[in-house]
Amino acid sequence: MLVHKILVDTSFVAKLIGLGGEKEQKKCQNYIIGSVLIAPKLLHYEIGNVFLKYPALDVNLLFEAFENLAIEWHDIKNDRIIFDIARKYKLTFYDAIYFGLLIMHEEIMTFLTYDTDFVKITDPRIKILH
Amino acid sequence: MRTTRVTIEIPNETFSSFRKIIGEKKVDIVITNLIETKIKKFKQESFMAKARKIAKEVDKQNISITNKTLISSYKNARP
Repeated sequence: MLVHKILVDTSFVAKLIGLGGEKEQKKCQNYIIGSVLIAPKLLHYEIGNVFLKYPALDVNLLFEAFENLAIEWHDIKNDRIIFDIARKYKLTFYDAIYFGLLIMHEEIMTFLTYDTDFVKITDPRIKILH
Repeated sequence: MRTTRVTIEIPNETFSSFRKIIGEKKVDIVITNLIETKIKKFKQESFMAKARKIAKEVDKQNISITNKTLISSYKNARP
């Protein structure tokens, strides 16, 4: 059975969790129906920083929602490749980790993000949402 | 085919760490699609219920989260 694997970044996960309202959340959910989500462990720290910016929201609920989201976590060990990607595409090392995952895992069919920095890269698998 | 029965406490294990455990123990385990589906469904439903509450709260409080503010909230925090 072919599993549709989707790489997601922090901007997408934040909206999937609901930080953006119901309309945006539904849009995100429609993109991932029946798919397996993949993300680098870096996303844990990034989403924590996002939560810090919204003190009006229930932090327990935010973390519970995040922790209950089924994501396959991946580690990037080959830092030299990431470094080369960052330099080639003029990305931050952090952004390059996401693109590195996409390069190293051919089975990933789509990368969903709201981050326009990835427009620098020409890869049909990258979908920048608006 | 040799199979090993394992007990999984779903609430304490994420789907990815569940896979990791199987990989580390190196045992022959038949994981049916049904089990995988159930685990994913459990996680997904739990996530959905909480995420819906957050989205409703964001709408109710009229919290404005533009793409720019969202992305800068974690990118600016990077060391």
